[in-house]
Amino acid sequence: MTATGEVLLKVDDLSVEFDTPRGPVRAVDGVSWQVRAGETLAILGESGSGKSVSTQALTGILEMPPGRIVSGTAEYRGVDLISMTTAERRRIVGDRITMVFQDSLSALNPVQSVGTQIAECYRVHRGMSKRDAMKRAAEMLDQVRIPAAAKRVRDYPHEFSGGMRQRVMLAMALALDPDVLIADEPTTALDVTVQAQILELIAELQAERDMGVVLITHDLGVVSDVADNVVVMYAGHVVERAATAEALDHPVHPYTEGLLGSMPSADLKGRELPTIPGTPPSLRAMPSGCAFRARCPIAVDDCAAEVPPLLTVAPGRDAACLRRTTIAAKEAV
Amino acid sequence: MIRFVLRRAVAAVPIGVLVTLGVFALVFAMPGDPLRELAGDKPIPAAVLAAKRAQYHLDDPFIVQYLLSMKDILTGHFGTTFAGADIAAQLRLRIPVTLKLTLLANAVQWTLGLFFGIYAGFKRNGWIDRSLLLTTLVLLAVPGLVAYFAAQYLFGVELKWFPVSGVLEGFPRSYLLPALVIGVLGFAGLARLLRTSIVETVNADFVKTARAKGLGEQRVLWRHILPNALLPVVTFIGLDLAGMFGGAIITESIFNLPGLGQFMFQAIKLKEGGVVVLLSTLAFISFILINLLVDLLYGVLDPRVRNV
Amino acid sequence: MSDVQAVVGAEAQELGDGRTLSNRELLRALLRKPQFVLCSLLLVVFFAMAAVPKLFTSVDPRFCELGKSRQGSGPGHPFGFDIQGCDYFANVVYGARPSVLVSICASFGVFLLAGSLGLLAGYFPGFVDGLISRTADVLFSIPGIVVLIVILNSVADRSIWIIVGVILLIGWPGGMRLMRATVFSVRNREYVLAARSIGVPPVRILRKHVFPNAMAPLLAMTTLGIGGMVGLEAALTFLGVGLQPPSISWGSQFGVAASYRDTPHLFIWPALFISTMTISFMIIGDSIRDALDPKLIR
Repeated sequence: MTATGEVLLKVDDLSVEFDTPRGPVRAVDGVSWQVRAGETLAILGESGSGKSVSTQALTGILEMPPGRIVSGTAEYRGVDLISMTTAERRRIVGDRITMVFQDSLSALNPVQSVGTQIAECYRVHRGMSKRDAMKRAAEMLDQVRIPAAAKRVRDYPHEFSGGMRQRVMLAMALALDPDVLIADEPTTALDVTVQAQILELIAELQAERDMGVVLITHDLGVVSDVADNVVVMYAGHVVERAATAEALDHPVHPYTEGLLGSMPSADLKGRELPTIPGTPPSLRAMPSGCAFRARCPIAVDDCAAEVPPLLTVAPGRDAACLRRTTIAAKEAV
Repeated sequence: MIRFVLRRAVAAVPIGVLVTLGVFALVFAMPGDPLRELAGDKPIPAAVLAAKRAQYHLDDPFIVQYLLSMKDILTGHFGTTFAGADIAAQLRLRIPVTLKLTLLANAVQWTLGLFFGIYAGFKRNGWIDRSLLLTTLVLLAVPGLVAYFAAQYLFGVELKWFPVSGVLEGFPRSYLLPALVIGVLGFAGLARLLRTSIVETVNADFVKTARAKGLGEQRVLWRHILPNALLPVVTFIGLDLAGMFGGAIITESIFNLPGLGQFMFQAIKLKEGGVVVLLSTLAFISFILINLLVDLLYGVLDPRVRNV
Repeated sequence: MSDVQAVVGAEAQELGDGRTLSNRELLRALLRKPQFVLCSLLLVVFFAMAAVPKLFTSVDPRFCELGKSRQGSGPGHPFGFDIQGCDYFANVVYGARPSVLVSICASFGVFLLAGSLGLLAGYFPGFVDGLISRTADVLFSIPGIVVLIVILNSVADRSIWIIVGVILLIGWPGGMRLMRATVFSVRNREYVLAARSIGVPPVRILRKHVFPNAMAPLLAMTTLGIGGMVGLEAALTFLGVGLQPPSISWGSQFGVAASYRDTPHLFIWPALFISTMTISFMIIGDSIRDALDPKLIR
């Protein structure tokens, strides 16, 4: 992993369960990652891999029944968010750590103007007056490059296009100059050109403010574009952790390999697109041992014995695979 | 805003003409000679009959009668019933009765509906929520007629808590029993609607966003959840009030309250065409007004419908 | 039309997006609910009462002895006697027929009428939609019960079918609007567009693609409204604009009971029967709606 600024957010051995009518389901199991100032960490995974759950748990927006944090810590600048009282955490979340979501139309309050919603951050966390807060809100809209910001501050979410709305969400998230921005699939609902603009915007604003960004996505293209480091998740477990460049060039875990192999490219023209056979397991019926073994091309009997631990294969490279971490490294790692 | 109101008012006129014409036609298509009905078994000299007919324009062509009626209504000349009672005076007596009943019934309905609906919406699957669904089902199922009678018998005759009928004991005692029954039967639909709306809103993405902004629960509730969850309820108001007048006919008959509903019913039975048309026009106008107000209110509360 | 149907219309709106269950799946899901089974059995009993009253009582409801007027229950006469001294149990049993007939026929008729009109209005915007919707608007602007009373009062000889007819005449706007809204959301689905693009004629599209997928909310609304029809018939007869003597109906029994408040059994029995039948219909309607709810399908 590339290391630059101080560690802002550090999640350690976090496990979250959901109580369902058919018994508890473990959504994330022993997840650990960290993000530093100025760095972009991508959490990569399919739907159901639990990629959003760890961030929702640490910000406190997880529904607590039926959700339950079983173990683990999430430290912001050394202070554990999970063991804090709700009141204490509310002072940090929304101010120092903020979130942006995927579907901006449903993620914004339809009956309040965008200005009011942005101004709310200033009013609640900084105690500003309504007038000052609205002024700052208009400034934020300008910073995220929304034209005619002063006029548009009184408009409602449904009066913006998808890309513009996502900028509004960014404005709201960055209003208080947070240390960490958690972006949960911010571009999934947008078309490709708009997607590029939004990612560029995030990168610019990050550079200006020396912010840490946690980007949750299922899109390898996005990861390779903007992420410094990547955490790959599968069925609630972290299976690989590395700097993006290395992970994508020389993946260690067979799942990452499979993902990369199934990306369409011009070289594969004329041939059938390779895919990972099978589907991810249901969290209610997890196979014993490694969750990926049913679909893994190099699985052996030992893989069913126990869940493979996340081991350091090389400095800055972690993987959870029995075969790839005990056998002497094949690829140049 | 003004344009919106004007547009609605203008659109209401042709509908109004159709409705009043329709009611007029129905009323005057009814077989039977009203004057003869009034006279009963006593024979009436032909001259008197002819004079009365001329007085009420009963021999003029249909359209003329309609236009004359409309002119009278719109200029406030309500005339008299066949029995000679001054209609305007009757209205003055009866409108307050119906209003008091409606107001009291609505107060009961909305208090119960809001309270239980919101409570059940937030404490989902608590015992209030579970029993609410069952109770509302039963309440929605019991026919109004049965409920009115049962209440009247149980609370009026047997337990003697309330007067059985009539307005002798004034406001609110005489109105309490019918208002309570209407309100209790009515809150079921409202509570259910509110519960569903709250459950949906609480799970909405923007609530997640609000929490991620570090907002306290109170702020999330009052500024984000409720303003959105209460929107469907506004349209409910329109439908609800519209149904009130129809319900008043039955309620006022059973509890013997001298209001507009009873007036209407008697007029139909006695074939008092003029009164029926008048009351129908009143009902229609108030319906249009109420719906207009509801639409305006909705436009104020929900910016998404404003420019449609 | 009524409060119930307005609320249910709102609640059932989401059903338009759900996938359709096959009939057998639906039946099996329904039979799993004890309340559905119980209420269906109750309804079967009521239907039997309506169809073959002699199964339940061998007494002639019109055989009356004035001397027995208003007496309470006794051997062979579990419900006692009415004001004319006729056996009340027999009268109540025979009274089931109009209620069952009116509620079933009126509801079914409204379903068909509102469904077809809503289908047409939703699928053919422009003139067709305009005509149907404007008419609905006019009918909406006046309380239905007023029109019902006015029309029924002007008809001299009111049979069950006249009543059903009049209810049909003014009861369709609510269901039509619901259907129309659902059709709006269905007609732009890919499978409809696909069918149109390969040239399937409109009637066939409506029949095979649009209607099966759009009818769920209307079905839910109708089944929950059947119970209301029972009460409506009783109310109309009570007010004197429904069925006339000598036909026996629960509504007319109410009407009589109103004037004899000191004889509770005159009121209790028809009340019990009406309420039970209405509640059964409602529970069945509720169960059907739950079974069709896509959010609960799993």
